[in-house]
Amino acid sequence: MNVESQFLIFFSQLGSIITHPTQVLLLFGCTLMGIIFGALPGLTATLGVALLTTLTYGMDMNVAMIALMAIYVGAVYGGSFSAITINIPGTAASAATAMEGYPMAKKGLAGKALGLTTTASAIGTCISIIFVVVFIPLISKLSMQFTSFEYFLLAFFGILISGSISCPDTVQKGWLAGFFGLFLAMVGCDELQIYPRFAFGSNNLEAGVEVVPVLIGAFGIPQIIQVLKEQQRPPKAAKLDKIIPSWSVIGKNLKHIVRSALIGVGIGAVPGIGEDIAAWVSYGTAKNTSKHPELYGTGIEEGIIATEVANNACIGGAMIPLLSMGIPGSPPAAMLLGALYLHGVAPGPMLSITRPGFITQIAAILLLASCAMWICGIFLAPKVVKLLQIPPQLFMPVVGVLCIIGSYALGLKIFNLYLMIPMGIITYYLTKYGFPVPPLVIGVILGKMADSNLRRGLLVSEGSLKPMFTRPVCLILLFVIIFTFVTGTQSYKNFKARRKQKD
Amino acid sequence: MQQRLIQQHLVFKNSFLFFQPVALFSDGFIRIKFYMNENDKNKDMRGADIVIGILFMLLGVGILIVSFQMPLKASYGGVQGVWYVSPALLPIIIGATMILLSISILIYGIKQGGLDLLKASIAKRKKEAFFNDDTVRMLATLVPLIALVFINMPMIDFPISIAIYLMFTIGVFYSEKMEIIRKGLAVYSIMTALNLIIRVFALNKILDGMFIFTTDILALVELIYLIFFIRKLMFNVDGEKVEMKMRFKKSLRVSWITPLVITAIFRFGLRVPMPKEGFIMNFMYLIYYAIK
Repeated sequence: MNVESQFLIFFSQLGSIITHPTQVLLLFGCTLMGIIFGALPGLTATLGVALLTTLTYGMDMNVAMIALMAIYVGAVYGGSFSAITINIPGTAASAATAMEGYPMAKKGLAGKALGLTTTASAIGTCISIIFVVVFIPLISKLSMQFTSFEYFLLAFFGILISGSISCPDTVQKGWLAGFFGLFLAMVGCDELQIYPRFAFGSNNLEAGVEVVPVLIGAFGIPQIIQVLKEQQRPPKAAKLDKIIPSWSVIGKNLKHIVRSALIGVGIGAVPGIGEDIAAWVSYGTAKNTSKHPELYGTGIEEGIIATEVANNACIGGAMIPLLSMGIPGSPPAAMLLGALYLHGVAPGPMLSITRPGFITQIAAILLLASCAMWICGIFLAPKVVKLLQIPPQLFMPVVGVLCIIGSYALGLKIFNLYLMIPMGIITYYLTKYGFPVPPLVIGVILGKMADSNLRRGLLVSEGSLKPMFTRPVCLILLFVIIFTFVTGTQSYKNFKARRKQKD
Repeated sequence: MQQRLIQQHLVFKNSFLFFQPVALFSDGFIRIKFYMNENDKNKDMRGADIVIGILFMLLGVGILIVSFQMPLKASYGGVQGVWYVSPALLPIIIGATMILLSISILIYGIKQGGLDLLKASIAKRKKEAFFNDDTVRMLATLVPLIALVFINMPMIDFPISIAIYLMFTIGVFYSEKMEIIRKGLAVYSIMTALNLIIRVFALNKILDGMFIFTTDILALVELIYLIFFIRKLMFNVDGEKVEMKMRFKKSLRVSWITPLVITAIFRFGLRVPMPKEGFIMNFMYLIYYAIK
C-alpha cells in the first residue's frame, strides 16, 4: 500500500469517526473512563482495557477498537491526576510524575502541573503515532522474512528481556515467572499433533488456558486483594482551580519532548516493558542531562514533561511489536492483543495483507483519542479529582464483580473463573515475593507461538539446529539472548562489583 | 513512625541492564529501598525465596514427569513421531529450566542468610495468634471471592450471589473496624459452610425440586440476615454512630444497585446468559418484557 492511499485511509477514518455522533460519544466516554481508571489508585490501565474488552466483544471490531484505544490512552494519562493532587500515582506509569507534580501542587500550582501533564501526554501520543505509521509496515515487511526459528527466538527473547527489566528483585525471578507463564500456555492440545498436554483428563483443560481470563486474574485480583487488605484511605487532594495548558512551557522544552518521546517509543517497543519503566528512564535521563539536576524533586516543569511524554509515547511504541509481530510491548498491549484475537484480528506480519489499512486506522484512532484526552483533561479535571475522594473499599469489590462477570462472559464458561481466581491469588503472592507479572503474561501469550515454531522449524531442518546459527536475524537474537542471560547472572554481577571496587 | 510504602520502582542507573529500585512512601519521600545488582541485600525476601524456590522446583519436576509420559518417539494418531516434533519438547525445556532457575534462587536465598530468616519468621509466626489482623483481613478478602465463584454463582441466582458478596465485602471493609471484619467474617464463613454443604450434596436440586426457587429464597434470607447483622455491628460503634450510619447506607445502596445494573447490562444489553438465573432474574425478565 503506497503513502497516498495510507493518507487517504487515515483521513477517511478520521472523518468516519467524527461524523458518527455515537462513535464520538464512545471515544469521549471511554477516554474519560480511562482517565478515571488511571486516576483512581488501585485501578490500572491494563485492568481498564481488560474490563472494557468484555463489554466490547459484542461490538463491531472497528467500534471496539475506538473504545479500547481510547481507554488505554486515557488511563495512561489519568494516573497523573492522583500523582499530582494526592501524591499517590494512580498507575505505575505516573509514579515518576509524582516526583515533580506533587511539589508543584504543594506550591499551589496543581492546575499548572495538570495542564502540563495533559498537553505533554497528548504530544507524546501524537509523536508515537508517526512511529506506528512508519515502523509497523517496515517491521512487518522484515518479519515476513522470518522463519520458525526466528519466531521461536523472538518469543524466547521477549520473555527473557521482560523478566530482566521488570523484575524488582533478582532477575532469575523474572525469568522463572516467564517460564511459569510458558508452562501455563502448554496446557491443552498442542497445535501440531493435537495431543492433550497437562489436561489430566479434563475437557476444559484440553481446550487450553484462555488468555483473557488469565490476564484479568493476573492484573485484577491482586489489586483487589491488596487494596482491601491494606485498607487505603484517600488523602485530601490538593486544591485545583483552573487547568492551564501551558503552551509556552511546552514550546521552551521541545528538546526534552523529542528525547522523551524517543525513549517512550523505544522502551514501548521492547516486549513486555511498560509505561512505568519508560517514564522513569525518561525522568532519569532528563535529570542527568539537566544543567540544574539539584532542582529535580522540587517541582520542575522539565521533569513532568519528560515523564508524561515518555509514558504516553510508550503506547505507540507498544503497538509496534504488537501489530507487526503479535508480540505485546506492554501489559495493556498484552490485554489489547487478547481483545484483538476476540474480534478475529490476528496481529502479525500478515496483518497488512489480511486487513489492509488496519494500522492506519489504529493511528487515526490514537490521534482522536489523544485529542479527546486533552479536551477531557483540560475541562473535566476538577470533576475527576473529586472522584479521588471515593474510598477504594466502595469501588474495588465492584471491580471484582466486573472481573468475574467479564471473564465468564468471554466464552460463557464458569471454568474461566475457576482459572481466574487461583491465577489471581498465585499472582498476588508472586508479586509480594518479588516476582514480576509482565513476563508471566508474556509467557502465557507467546507460549503457543514458541512451541509451534520451535517444532515446525526443527521439522523443516529435520532436527538440525544449524539454521539458528546461520541465519543473520537468528544470530542477532541469539547474541541478545545470551547477553541478557549472562548480564543477569549473579557471577556477572559479582564480577562487575569486584571491578567497581578495584576502580 | 514507619511510613507506608506506596510504590516501588526501578530507576535507570549506570547502564541498560542495571536498575536501582526506589520506593515512594506515604510521606511523599522517595527512598532507595534496596539494590538488585551487586549490592543486592533484599534480605527480607530471602526466607520466602527458599520456600518459593522449592515449590517451583517441585513444579518443574512435576512438569518433567508428565512430559516424559507424552509421546517422544512413539507413534501418535497413526503418525510415527520423531523427537523434534514431540509435544513434550518444549515442556521438557520449560521443566528443566524451571528447576535450574529455582535452584539458583534457592542457592542465592541460602547464601544470603535466608534459612535463618525463614526460621525466625516461623518462630515469629508461632508466637503470634493464628488469626491475627493481617490473616483475618486476607481471609475476609479471599473467602467471599472464592465462595462467590466456586459455591454461590453456580447454584444461586446471579444478582443474589453478587449482592451477598458485595454486602459483606463493602460492609465490613468500609467500616474500617477490625472488630466488624472479624465478626462479619465469622458469620459469613458459617453461611459459606452451609452453602458448601448444599452444593457438595446437591441439596439444591432436591430443594428446587420441591419449589423452584427454594435455594434462591434461602440465599435471600442469608442476605437479609447479613444486612441486619452488619447494620447492628456498625450501629454499635461507640461515638461514630452518624458516620457509621452513613457508611452502612452507602454499602447497602452499592451492594443492591450494582448487581441489578450489571445483570441488566450483561443479560439484556450484551445477551450474556447468567451462570444461574433464578428468583430475581425472573422478576427482571418480567419487567424487561413488560417494557418491551
